[in-house]
Amino acid sequence: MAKKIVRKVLLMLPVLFLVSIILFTLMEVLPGDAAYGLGSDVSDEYIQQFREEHGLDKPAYVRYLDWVTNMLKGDFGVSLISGLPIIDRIKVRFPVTLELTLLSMIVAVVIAIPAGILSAVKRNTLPDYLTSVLAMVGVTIPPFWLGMLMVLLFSITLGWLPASGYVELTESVSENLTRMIMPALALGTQFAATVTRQTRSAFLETLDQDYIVTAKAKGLPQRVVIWKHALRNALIPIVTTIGMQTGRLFGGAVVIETVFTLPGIGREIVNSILLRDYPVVMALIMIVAFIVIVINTLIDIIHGLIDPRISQSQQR
Amino acid sequence: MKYESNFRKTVKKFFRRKLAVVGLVICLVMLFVAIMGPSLSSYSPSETVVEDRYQPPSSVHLFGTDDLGRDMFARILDGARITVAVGVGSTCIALVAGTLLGLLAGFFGGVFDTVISCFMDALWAFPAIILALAINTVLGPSLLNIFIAIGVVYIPDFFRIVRSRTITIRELEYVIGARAIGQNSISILWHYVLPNMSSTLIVQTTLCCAKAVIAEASLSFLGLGVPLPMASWGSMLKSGYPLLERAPWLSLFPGICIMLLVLGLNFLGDGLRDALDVRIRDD
Repeated sequence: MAKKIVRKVLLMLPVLFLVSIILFTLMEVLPGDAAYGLGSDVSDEYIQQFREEHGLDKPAYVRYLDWVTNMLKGDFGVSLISGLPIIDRIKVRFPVTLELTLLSMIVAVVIAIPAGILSAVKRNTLPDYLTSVLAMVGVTIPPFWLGMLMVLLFSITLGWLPASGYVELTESVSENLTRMIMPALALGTQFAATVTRQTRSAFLETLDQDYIVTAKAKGLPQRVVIWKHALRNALIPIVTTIGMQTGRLFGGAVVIETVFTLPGIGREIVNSILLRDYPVVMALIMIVAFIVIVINTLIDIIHGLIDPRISQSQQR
Repeated sequence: MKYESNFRKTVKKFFRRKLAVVGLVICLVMLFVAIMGPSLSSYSPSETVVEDRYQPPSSVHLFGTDDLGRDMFARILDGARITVAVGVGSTCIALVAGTLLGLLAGFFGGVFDTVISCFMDALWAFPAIILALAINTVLGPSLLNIFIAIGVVYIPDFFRIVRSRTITIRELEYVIGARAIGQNSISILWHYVLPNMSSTLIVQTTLCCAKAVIAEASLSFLGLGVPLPMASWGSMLKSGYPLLERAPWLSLFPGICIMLLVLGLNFLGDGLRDALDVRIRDD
């Protein structure tokens, strides 16, 4: 088993290498470099000097190697536009995106798992139909449009919540949460809907198993059968779905941060692409991709760890 | 004869599922609207009437008018073209490229498989919108480039499914038989392997189309989608958002249309999956 885990971890390296190559190539073929973003009213000499200062005149492979070796040392370089170290910006922006994704995950899981269980236990009744319809709508609604609808309802019509802006968690917890709850819900709805559907089908499958029938037959209360016997086994595919959806949350955050003007990583990526601030774009996307790859590898490892147990229980 | 009866069974199974039929109807209506476009309305999508600005939905202007006095219903009909075109176009790119690479990697294995699989894992690691954003910025604003940017993002979806199905199918007796009678690899892939995964591909294609529609809307919302003066439902949402308080209908109708289309595609995909799955029997 340990060998397999080591192998999975090692397999991350070529993928990370390819991600860096794809990213670097994409940025390389972008029309015009950062000097292009300085505007048309600067002199040719200044542009030349700017290119030399930032190493833009070096050959591509040299710049790639510089970039990778510096990154491995924890140095992400400086922004071409502001001249400030990128790591400082990551430190400010990353917590916003992390809070947004974590909050939406928490909201989603808290709603989705009980809803999915209810749906499976009360199969083919009104609560089941209602949950299934809501889950279907949740899967298909574009998250940013849901965000807009929330702004329309809760900010413009009812005036309950602020439509945009960000207050740091350390500054005021309540102010922070009133501003984060709508983005988190908008981002988390699709996630919640997917987890609800997965929970429902995993539970339906589990509830048919012999050991559940036995547990019921020996007179255990339904509460114990569901929460102790069924949940533990149904959790496996649910956890997998949660893991797989996490990568998508980071992508969704890009748009949600724009709707609610949150100063997170996603909005920074979009702004930096528009400004052609390549070092920032590359550093931020690389970090997001790294997180996604690590999460995917972790799911793979967890799968491997629980697999033998599944096959054993089926043999019994 | 046997093939036809199987086909009939599948069609019957499909039409027995109400949601699948609803999905099919939604998709057909959307396709019709996309083909006919603004000719279904008496208004022109680009005609500006200053005195008619910000008219709420009424019998005269079904979906209201925008900040330039353009009829929103006509604009929605016009936008359907772009949205449906991007959905179909980018899905085609992902389908063709993903299937081709998946077939070759799965069938031949070896170094080629390892390299391509690694590359696909790397593409997979980028969040969809971010990758599409980056590709689209590189290629520049045009409709075709949106097809490519979104298409590339979903290539790994098809690749993974086709590759794993190919690995299973290539070991089956009829493939070994085909090889024994001297068929070449291309012919085996085309005549024996590909037809046996067509149902999986059909389902994946409808679901991918739904994802592509949302991806296009997201890109357009960020202002990096279809170039002006083209307008998709996503770019209408972008221009409607700052006017949310004054004219909420500008954001409501394009969003409802996107959701309906995605819902229709999902219903259709789920229905096709059940109808094409031989393990599910209705009788």
